[in-house]
Amino acid sequence: LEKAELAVGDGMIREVTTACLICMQRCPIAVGVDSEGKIRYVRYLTMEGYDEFFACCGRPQLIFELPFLRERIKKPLLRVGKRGEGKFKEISWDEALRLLTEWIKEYWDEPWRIVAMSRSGADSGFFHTFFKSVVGTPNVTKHCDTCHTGLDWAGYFLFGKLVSPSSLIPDYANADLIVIMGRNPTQGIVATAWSKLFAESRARKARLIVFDVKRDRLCELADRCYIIPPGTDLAIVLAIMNVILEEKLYNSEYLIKWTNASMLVYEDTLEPVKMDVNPLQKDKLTYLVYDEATGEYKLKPEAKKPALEYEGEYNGRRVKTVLLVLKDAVKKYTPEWASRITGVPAEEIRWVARELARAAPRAFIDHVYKAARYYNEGMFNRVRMIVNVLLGSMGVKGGIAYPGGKPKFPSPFEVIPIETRKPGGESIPEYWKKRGVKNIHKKCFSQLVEKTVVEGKPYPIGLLIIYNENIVSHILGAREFIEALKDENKVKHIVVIDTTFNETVLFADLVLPTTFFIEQDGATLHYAKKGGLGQIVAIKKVVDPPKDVDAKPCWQILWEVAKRLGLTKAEYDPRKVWEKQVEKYGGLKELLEKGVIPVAKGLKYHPWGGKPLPTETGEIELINVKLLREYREYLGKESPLNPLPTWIPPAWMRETGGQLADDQFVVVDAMSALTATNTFMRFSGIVRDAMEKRREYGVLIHTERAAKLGIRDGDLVRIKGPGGEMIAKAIVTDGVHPTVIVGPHATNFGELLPKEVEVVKADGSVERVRIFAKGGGYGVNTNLLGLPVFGKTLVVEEGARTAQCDFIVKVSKA
Amino acid sequence: MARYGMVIDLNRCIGCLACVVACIRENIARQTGEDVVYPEPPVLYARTKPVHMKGGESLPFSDTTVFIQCQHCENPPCAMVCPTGATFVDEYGVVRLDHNKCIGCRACMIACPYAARTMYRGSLPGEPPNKYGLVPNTPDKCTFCVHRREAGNWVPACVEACAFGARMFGDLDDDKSEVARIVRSGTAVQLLSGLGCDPKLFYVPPLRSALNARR
Repeated sequence: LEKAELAVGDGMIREVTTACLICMQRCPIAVGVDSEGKIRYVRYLTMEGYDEFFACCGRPQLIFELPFLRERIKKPLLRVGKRGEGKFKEISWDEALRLLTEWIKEYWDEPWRIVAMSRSGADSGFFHTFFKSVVGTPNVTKHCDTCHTGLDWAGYFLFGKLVSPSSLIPDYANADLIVIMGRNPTQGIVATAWSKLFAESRARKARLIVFDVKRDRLCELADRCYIIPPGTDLAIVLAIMNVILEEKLYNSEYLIKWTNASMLVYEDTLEPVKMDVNPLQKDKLTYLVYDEATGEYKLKPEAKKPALEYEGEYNGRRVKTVLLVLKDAVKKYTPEWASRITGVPAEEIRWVARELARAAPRAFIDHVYKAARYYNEGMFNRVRMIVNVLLGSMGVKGGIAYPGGKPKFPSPFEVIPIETRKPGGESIPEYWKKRGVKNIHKKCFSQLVEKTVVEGKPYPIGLLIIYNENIVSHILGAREFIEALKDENKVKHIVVIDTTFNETVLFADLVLPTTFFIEQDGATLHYAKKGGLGQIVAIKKVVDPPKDVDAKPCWQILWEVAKRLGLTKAEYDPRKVWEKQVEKYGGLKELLEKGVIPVAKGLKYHPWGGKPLPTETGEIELINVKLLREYREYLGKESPLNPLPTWIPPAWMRETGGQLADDQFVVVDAMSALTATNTFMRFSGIVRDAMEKRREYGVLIHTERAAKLGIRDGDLVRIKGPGGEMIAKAIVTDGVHPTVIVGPHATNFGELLPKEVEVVKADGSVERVRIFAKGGGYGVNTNLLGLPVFGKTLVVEEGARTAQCDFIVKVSKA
Repeated sequence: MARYGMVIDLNRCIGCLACVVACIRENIARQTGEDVVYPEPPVLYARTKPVHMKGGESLPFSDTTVFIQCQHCENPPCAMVCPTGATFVDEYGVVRLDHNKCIGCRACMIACPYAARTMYRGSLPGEPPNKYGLVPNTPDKCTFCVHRREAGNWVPACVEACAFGARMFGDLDDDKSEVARIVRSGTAVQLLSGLGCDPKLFYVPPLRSALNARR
């Protein structure tokens, strides 16, 4: 005891600088470890000028508990029961690697039948590149189609390119008014970085208005908080857009300079009246406008004052500006109309719009992260972005800014010699693209993998290998997926590399235990990025795994397989790779000494992010010229591909007309800053208790609705969805919209799967491992309740991304 | 004599509970090398715990998560009622507990108007995580991580863990310290200041609250 106490601060503590990989943020941290290998502290690795964007939140503080989770996988395991039964026997690493090598060899001539999936972060880059470039399969994916794909495509309409969560940054620090809907920077997936910026701006008195389906810490911080029905944010932003256009609250100068708002289009077809080569911008087109200064039609570069609100005749045909087309498109979406859908008083919506305009450009509706909950999220995000553009807040100080640059690392496979080959064969996304799925994100097609597994098309999967990705929990309609996974004719071999038992591991034929990030050196360097700042970080071994855990880093597993396949003779040394990767940025010595190397600083304040956009005009296109041509048939339709802003009711509303029976609810899963994004976090007893204390460990149900069903606080309730059912603990509260039942994401799998795993150990004894031994078990998982239905809960127009929370469940007392 | 105190800015707190987890690791949980054990439920025994305050909008902390922990009062009722002198104020102004003198009568727990003391009645394997870590059957409380001062690095674990700058710690009598500056500016308030306990823990109330609106 004395020794441990003295150790704090006097040099007996060994401090290791590394980065946290629990979410994708990769915040640099320093971990103090004493001579007995106990973690004594975890602190954020501060660096002057960079601290605005990174932090060490509650999750890395928990790393002292992680290695000892009851659900930890301790040895390589071979399935002995049926898939999904959770019966395994311990095998040696040699046997495990032999099997994996054999199964890869089996499909060496048909590599496309090997499907590799992993989440972002950890060594997923290594994993992806290994399967793409060494094994040669085109079927390597992440699960962003269940996360941000709706956002990606929304951005395409304005910017001509996919807009990921990190490709635009809310400049909270300089904002005067922040309106938040569709996200929660204090609780969301990559909570830390956002909350760091956000909390600081709030403390500096930026005003805050929040729209959400439930009250939590974000509402506590807000000046005003409106609780609205799920998936109706679109109605609010359409009404805000209506007010801004009707009351001419937009930033004219900005719109003329940076957008195609002044573009003249034919009233009947919406086609641009005339487009021509832009003499001022290489490879970009310009267009006809009405010059208010001279009263003539001119190409934009020649006009002194392009009109924003003009309509007239050109060569005998009616023409008008893009801005007027937009104004017409949202004319009917008045605050009164939105009020009927959302319950927010019309005058309050009008007030929000006027306040936004008053504070502009230091005001915005926040950028979001996850956009795969409701059917209409692509449209919601597009309209939200249009509002920011109308305000002139896009790309300016205090508005929505662009991030700084990032380093380019050589691939480890260029550093350490290994045979590579090009991916071959028809990929799963190519197959489904030919069959009507539009806009498939090339790195995000997990739902299509599910479809392939279920339908056996275009081919049965030979080897499904999954690394640190609880895909059964992440995929919508997992029950259907589970049934298919049980069939060896649909998937011949399933291999899972993971740290803890979970929904997916239960289906593995071969389970390979891997180390937590604190127990290994990372295969490659990582880049911690947020806002305009970036830091190169190295994942370093902080502690050894517990004595009874025989786990290997993923890179080591795959490298050993590569050696067995005869693809390399070299030894893989992460530090050699780091050395090469950091060569241009100051060298490995500096990185190891400082813990981080900063590489980019400062947000980019420029409406286009510094250079013309990939749109045809190079400008922000409020109506996208190319996509209008492509998606003309969607005009007038309630579709996210409609080139004009339009109301799309969420699927649950279309189904019910917005009227729910007493036992009907829309089921919504919420992120928690303690469990996201790695589902192993839910197994922590401290996490469970913290969530209970915050009254989020169960499902929130409105007081009046609960009373009608005879449900009291703490009762267990049965939630029955179209795809399955589960039991959860009710938290009765006024702080939730009466329409919804809300619980923390992926903290429950009901009766679907066994909650105990049986492992026959090497000595013949049997160990039973209880899942949810200390944490997890009473939240919700919409993926296990819903069904993947094209055009309803799968948005086929947006790459078959999910609408994971857009369906009705029936709730009763259990 | 120094008077150490803490300020919690509730506008910077995003509720990640890093402070609570860090406190559990630093003072409550025991890492045995083969496992990590802590009293159940762990957050109840953390020396700083989140509490959601309800009440009408006119109340200063209504609909806000605050943290319940030892307020390190200048006039601590818990020390006044302690029959053995086990609870005392040290030379830095920290209200502390001498485990050797404590008879476990729990008078301090009843006397504390902030409900800041908890007693774990179970048993735990191994040794406490530090010299002043939680000992079962004694009325546990925040020590401002005074063991770290003795080791030459006096930053309470919760302050070190809060990367959002919501928690600040320092000498209230040192004009240059951040805590003294904030307290002097009048933006931070004590809880139940009318009781006369004169806590050295201050809270910056939510911006939207009645307390802020008055200023």
